Amino acid sequence: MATAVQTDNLLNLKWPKEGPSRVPYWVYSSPEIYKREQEMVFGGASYNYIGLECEIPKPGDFRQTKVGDKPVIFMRDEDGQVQVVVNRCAHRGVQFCYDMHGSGKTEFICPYHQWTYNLKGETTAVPFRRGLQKQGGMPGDFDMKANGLQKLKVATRHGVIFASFDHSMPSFEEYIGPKMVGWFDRVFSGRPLKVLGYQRQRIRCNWKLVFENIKDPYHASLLHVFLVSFSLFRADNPSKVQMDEKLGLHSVLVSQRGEKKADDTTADIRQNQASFTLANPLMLQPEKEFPGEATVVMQTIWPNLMVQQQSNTLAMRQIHLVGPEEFELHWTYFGFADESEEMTQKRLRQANLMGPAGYVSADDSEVMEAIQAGISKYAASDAVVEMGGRGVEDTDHMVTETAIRAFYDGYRKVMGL
Amino acid sequence: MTTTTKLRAEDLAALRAEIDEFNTAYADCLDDGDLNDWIGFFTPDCIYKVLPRENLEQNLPLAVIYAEGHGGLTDRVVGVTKTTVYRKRYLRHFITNTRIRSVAHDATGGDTVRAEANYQVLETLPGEYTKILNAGRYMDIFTRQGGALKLKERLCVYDSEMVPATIVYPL
Ligand code: FES
Ligand SMILES: [Fe+2]
Repeated sequence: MATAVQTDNLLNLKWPKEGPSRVPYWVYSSPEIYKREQEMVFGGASYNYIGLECEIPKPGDFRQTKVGDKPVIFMRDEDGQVQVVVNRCAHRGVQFCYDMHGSGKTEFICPYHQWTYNLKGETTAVPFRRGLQKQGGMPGDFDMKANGLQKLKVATRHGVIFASFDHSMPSFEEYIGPKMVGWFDRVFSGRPLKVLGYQRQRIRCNWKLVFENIKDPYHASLLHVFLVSFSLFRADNPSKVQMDEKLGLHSVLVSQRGEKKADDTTADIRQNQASFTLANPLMLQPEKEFPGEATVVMQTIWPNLMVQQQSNTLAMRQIHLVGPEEFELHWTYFGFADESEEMTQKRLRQANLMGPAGYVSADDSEVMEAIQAGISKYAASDAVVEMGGRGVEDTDHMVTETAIRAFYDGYRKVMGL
Repeated sequence: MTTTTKLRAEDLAALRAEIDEFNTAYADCLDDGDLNDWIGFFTPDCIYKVLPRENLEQNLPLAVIYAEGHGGLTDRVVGVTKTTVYRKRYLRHFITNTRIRSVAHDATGGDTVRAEANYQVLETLPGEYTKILNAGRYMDIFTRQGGALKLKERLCVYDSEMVPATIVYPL
């Protein structure tokens, strides 16, 4: 007889027989799963978001980031090409780049034994390679070329940088598929970008919960009292959910701001406060800037990026992993290099909605930690994901968890679960 | 016209004591008081921001909290008390090392004081150990209104790039 509460090693990591309408809680806490994700998801056939080209405009500019939990450096070399290398010395592993960002670099020198790398990640100098006074030195057949920094395959599109540990990856466009390219280009049309600033938070929950959160449009009309109160997002707003053509791991959630009205669609929402108004209305005066009717488009690009367009707030939300039950969210807010000062001001004001202190996002970071607290020790139980049916198809409404089901459908394939 | 003043040592000490007094009351309001009273520490046209040091140093304008005027502060208070859903928590502010950067008098007899202080805010969630929520410095511009100092601008610039999941209350 099975016991009511099983521990991790008794589970055998077998997906519940119901398929995508159930998510077993061990995917959020198992060290085994975490290890497999580093290898097959972040280290496997995926393009990870790295950064924006405008963050490293000149040769010699560099910044640190992570792919999954692995520290990497992205930089612009003398030829103007973007390079992504691991921040791990090819000799004995020192994290040789100490600065989080910088410029004017011509080479990286590891402090330990001064192995030296150029901006393409090639080893250019190994001190005492030929020994000292005929003593020591590297073996005669030591090949500097074969002992450079580990490099990632780089893909860029319209100013956005992605990279993969898998050098056999197809193009980025093929990777996300035509439907997702269309949504991607809506924000990234090739118009030059500028960074407005960073926000970074460490959240004590599994990284997949943040993806689920943004692939779940129906929580927004219930959890986010602020959004509901200001009609920024409501269950009855015209909206849709779409997945990519292949694995369903990339998706968009599209919505259009509607009028405030109290009717049966809001009667279910307990905390609805229809009469709420801002004391400083300047905070929220959205201006249309993209083609089409949508006012909110949240695009997730597997496995580590959410592109946020909520009114005029534009941000890349990048996932860095810390462990099975902890991750970091790195937000890069941006605008366009040629935009007006007023538009930049709008973005900065509307940023109050998002991030660790955001009127909306603070609800999410709180609830994500509460989920982890709820499921961490109940690895043998499952989440029920049946809103909008049990399928994984695109929908033209938001009362659905279809994108979460599609996500886990694809996830199982990638992970071999 | 505004003139920068060089204060005598005892006036400087008195001003520093006054700012310390101000910050003690400010901390008391956020730690154990009524959040609505927080607005009264600022001038009606104030700027209040919480931002990471990295943004300040790279001249990036983004903040984590950006409130303009009493209206913006009021919205924050309403946001925290009426629309945000979060676990209960307690804050404890430690504000020290007050330094006065400059003092200016204008023709109408007002003072503009630029000052900085270090802050550390501890946060306690029920069932957990107390942790450091945020640490950094206040970069302040005070003005005198009706005899009392008010904040025309307070930038809470935190040193870490990273913050724990959620900053609910103002710092
Ligand atoms: S570990 Fe980097 S040079 Fe030896
Ligand atoms: Fe949310």
